[in-house]
Amino acid sequence: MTGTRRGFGNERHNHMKAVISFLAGGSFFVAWFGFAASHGAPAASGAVAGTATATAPDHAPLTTPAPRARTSRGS
Amino acid sequence: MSWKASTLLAAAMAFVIVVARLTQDAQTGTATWDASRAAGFVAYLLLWLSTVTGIALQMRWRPARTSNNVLVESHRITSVLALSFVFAHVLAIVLDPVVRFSVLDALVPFTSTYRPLQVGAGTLAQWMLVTVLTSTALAGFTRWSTWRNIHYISFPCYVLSLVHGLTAGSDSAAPVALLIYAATASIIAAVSVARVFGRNWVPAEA
Repeated sequence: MTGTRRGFGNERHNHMKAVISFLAGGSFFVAWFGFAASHGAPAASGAVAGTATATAPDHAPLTTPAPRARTSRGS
Repeated sequence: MSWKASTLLAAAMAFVIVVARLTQDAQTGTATWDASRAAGFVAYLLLWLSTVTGIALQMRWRPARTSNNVLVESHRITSVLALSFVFAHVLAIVLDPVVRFSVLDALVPFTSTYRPLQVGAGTLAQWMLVTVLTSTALAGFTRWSTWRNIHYISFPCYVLSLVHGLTAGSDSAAPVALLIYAATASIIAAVSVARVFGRNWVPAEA
């Protein structure tokens, strides 16, 4: 952006911007649901195998969020 | 338009993330964690697009039959949208019930107990993005050279966001994530080399 086109005044191509915003928002929700689908429904797995109560003690003693995140989360 | 669209999108994402936080299981729910991962990826890709279009603008590159205005407006909207997704990324991780990441961790670099350097790189990149966007919003009140010098921060901003994505996230080892990071970083490296050394090129007929 050079000369008089610096800044956010005099914006153009609003339809294009709306499309880009829509695509970005859509990508976010697709990625979100993709991540969610990659490790299944946690409530169901916990209910079936009883892992909800089994994994809780592993989380409790840890003092930093890192191991909790690393052990219980991820793709 | 750029700020309105980005603010609207940020508000919509914040609403959905808060609803997900309220409805997910406090012990086993992963909705906010997944939202943070998704928002982080989209923010990174938007920042990458913004950097590429910014370099293309400076180098006067553009696809055939595409006006310069299209490139300018693409650069504007992707940079502002990136900030919206950074906001969603931070909001989701702060609200996550398992990963106890505080607001202070999100705002002050290197204060996180989890991988402080890697997370700090992301926090620094976040503030660099805010600085660049603020300087652009106030460009009408500053000298062009001042705005340009501040705008150079966007290069370390991209690099820090790449380092943050590669080292702080739980998806860094995933082949798809590695492919995305490798492809985007290679393109940035190539256009950056052209940007730094290309400005001294002299056309043959000159």
